[in-house]
Amino acid sequence: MMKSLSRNIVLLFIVIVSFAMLSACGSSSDNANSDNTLELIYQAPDDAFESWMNKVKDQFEKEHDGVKVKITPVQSNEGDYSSKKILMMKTEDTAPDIVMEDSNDIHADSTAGYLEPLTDDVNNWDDWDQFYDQVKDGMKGEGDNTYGAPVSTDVRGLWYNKKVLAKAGIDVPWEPKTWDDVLDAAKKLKGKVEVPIWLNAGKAMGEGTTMQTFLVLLNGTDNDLYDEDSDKWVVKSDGFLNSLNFVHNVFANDLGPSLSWGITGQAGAKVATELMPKGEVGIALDGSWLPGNWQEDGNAPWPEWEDNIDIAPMPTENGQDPGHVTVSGGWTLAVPAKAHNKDLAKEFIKLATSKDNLRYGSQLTPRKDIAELDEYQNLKYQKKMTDFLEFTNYRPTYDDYPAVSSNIQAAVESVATGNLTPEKAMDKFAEDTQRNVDKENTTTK
Amino acid sequence: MTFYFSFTNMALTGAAASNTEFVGFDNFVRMFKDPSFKTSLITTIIFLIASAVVGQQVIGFLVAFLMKRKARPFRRIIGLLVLAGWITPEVVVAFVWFAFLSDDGTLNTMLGFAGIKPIAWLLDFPLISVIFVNIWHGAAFSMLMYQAALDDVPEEVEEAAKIDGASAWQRLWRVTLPIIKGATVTNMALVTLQTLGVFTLIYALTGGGPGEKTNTLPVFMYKEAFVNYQIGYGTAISLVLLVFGILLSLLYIRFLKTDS
Repeated sequence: MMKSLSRNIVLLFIVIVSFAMLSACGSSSDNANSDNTLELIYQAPDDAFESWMNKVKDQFEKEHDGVKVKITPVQSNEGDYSSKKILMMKTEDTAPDIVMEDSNDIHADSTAGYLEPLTDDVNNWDDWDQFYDQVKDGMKGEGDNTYGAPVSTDVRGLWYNKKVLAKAGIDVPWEPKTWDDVLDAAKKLKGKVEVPIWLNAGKAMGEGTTMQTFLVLLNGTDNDLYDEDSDKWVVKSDGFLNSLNFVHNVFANDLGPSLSWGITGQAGAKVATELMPKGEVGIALDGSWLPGNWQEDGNAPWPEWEDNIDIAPMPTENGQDPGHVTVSGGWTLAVPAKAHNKDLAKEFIKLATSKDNLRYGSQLTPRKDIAELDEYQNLKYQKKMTDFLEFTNYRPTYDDYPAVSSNIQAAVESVATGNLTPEKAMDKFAEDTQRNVDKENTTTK
Repeated sequence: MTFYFSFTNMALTGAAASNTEFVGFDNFVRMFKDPSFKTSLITTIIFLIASAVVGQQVIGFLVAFLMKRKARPFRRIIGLLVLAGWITPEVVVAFVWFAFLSDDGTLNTMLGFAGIKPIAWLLDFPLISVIFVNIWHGAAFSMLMYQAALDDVPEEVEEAAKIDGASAWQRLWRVTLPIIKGATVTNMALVTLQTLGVFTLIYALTGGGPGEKTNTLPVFMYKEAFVNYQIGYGTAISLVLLVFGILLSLLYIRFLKTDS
């Protein structure tokens, strides 16, 4: 019996291996690099982006006789997409003509020589004035050049459940003025909902922990992560410690999510698609894209979400100027340095990001003229969050940022899990960062 | 190439991507100073010994031994159950076990029936959990190896020992095990090397966390190379992993030689 079973297993093995090899062949031999084909890659799945691009593709192909646009989905999560995209851009054979690029990657990718500068092109482009200045600043990389056209932007804030807060005796609309106001509200919600206040706090959430939690906190203190004057990373500061203390206060007082899922990679999805619609989250410090989950075509349609949920800007630590704080990122369309049809690619990007074509879905629009449209103004939350752009910050996405960000995630997680005190976590962060970026590139405040 | 890259500051993006420089032993010096490397080396050794050397070997042997000369249907059912773990791809194994071990997973539901409070397995016992899952995944390989080896043990020898008055334990210890020693060492070598490279299972189950509790060398290497984009440093770690594997293989070969 065992012999025949072993033989079956060997056969199964052969079938699986051959299948894997065949599918690998299929994807590698399928590159479209001929002169009249324009290849665009994006991080999939993203149905809204895909349908928007398909529309632009049809229009572009009609306007450019004989040109074919090929839209290639790259199935991956955020971290993997960056690596895959870089590996494709590295060699001429695989370089696409247009890449969907996270504004976070622009600095490092342009320094590495992967991207084509678009400064001259955008300066000659009438529409360029229509993009918000803060968003345009986020497109800059090596040599202060512009490397991408923004397709979206985002902000972070405190999403809260109006009904749950009202039941707990908190005035709605809720307008916290300091961090203490936020913590007080969370304390009042304790015992009334499963998660009084939700924060990304795990390494598994990667950049989400740095950007949605830590930087939103740190930017509300008097300290920064990067000192632009001395070009050094600030590895220890009162603001840094206070930010970790905020995380500590949330988790040590059982105001945050249960750690057994709260620090796993599934946490973000669970909050947005399961717990919030069930009314089990009081407050969530998260991004502007959250309601995207609740749209008709989203992951967890929730038609009544607007009756339940509202957003308040995150206050600064003690209410100091400018009173509120947020962090922005967003996606761009960029042209790889090794693209084959750069001129056509630039034309395509112009068309895609024009006033008539640029779609924002659940994201915020980077264009002022779109923000003024009645159609956009009627989207209550998009309009509200677009105002956050007035006080937004971008990340210091220098070359060493990925390593620094990774150390921040470790610090936040160790504080949330109670493995380290905020002081010890900051010491470890300083030690790790000094090793990663060289001690002379760091400073303390 | 890996050998060369490990002596450079090569990065996937940023300045070091376009301007890769030879940095000598910098990556290795950094590695040995890096507390995360030390932690992940220790984690790797624990994972290796517990899940491969002890877990898969012992369980594989026990299953094979207990199945010997048992009724056909019984052998078939047990064999299929054990093999199910082996033929399932690592990433599927990870997701199945994630569902089983999560807060509201099957295990906690079952414990709930017995009145036991839910346990956050992957948070409170992450290393034990991944060790257990890897044993489940890999024990079938050892079972097959031992089945073949045990089938080769001549029945007459065992019969003779039995007539001489040896107890079951003595027959196992003094007769069976020495005869299959060669197969044991070969199996040990294969299972060790296979386990040393386990990545998907751990990465999908715990992502190397919480903290660095399940950050074995392959996970550590992946994170440095593809999350922090430090290809040079990542390849240096992979080189150490390779050397570690070679050393273990040499050790086993030595065992085999003394055996012959």
